[in-house]
Amino acid sequence: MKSNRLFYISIIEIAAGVIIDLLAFSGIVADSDVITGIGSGILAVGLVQLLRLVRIEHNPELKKYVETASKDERYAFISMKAKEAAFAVYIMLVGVLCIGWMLLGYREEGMLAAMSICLLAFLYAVLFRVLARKY
Amino acid sequence: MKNRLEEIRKQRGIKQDELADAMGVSRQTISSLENGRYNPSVILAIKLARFFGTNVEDIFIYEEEQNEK
Repeated sequence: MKSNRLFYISIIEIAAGVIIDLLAFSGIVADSDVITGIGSGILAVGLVQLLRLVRIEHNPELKKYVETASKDERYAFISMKAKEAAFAVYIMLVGVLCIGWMLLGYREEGMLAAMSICLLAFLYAVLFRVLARKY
Repeated sequence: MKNRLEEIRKQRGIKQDELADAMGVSRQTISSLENGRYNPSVILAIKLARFFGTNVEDIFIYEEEQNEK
């Protein structure tokens, strides 16, 4: 079920990447270098995901391993811990960047970093309240 | 939290792989449980107890003092 969904997502990504690249190459869109980069990136992600799915489908051992891993509670726990750590590290790094940019006179970049922290803090507060109601 | 999972599993002559398959988790999860690096969810603890035909408390030993630190 999940691999079917991923298969369709990869096909959509490949199609989107090709369309974006074609639009960029034809010169219809402005700033075609950036658009080509975005298109190629989406195309590459779709192709890699599709190749991964084909590899899993043709290897019963790998398929079993992936299926077990997707249901395994320890993996889910580790994934949650990793997200938690990434969130904390991101906040600290952007905080340091924000102060650094402000001190060096890069006011716009500093403001952007500060807004990024505020947005994350806001999202955290909202999601905490939503989840507190659910659980 | 300490546990007797390895001891009970070996008493029954079951391999980590076999227990992992029966519980629907990875072998690494069983290994981590046995080493005390990971504490199971209530559901997994009950599944393990049922698999071995025993109580959760017979497998997992909760140590209050250590957890209160």
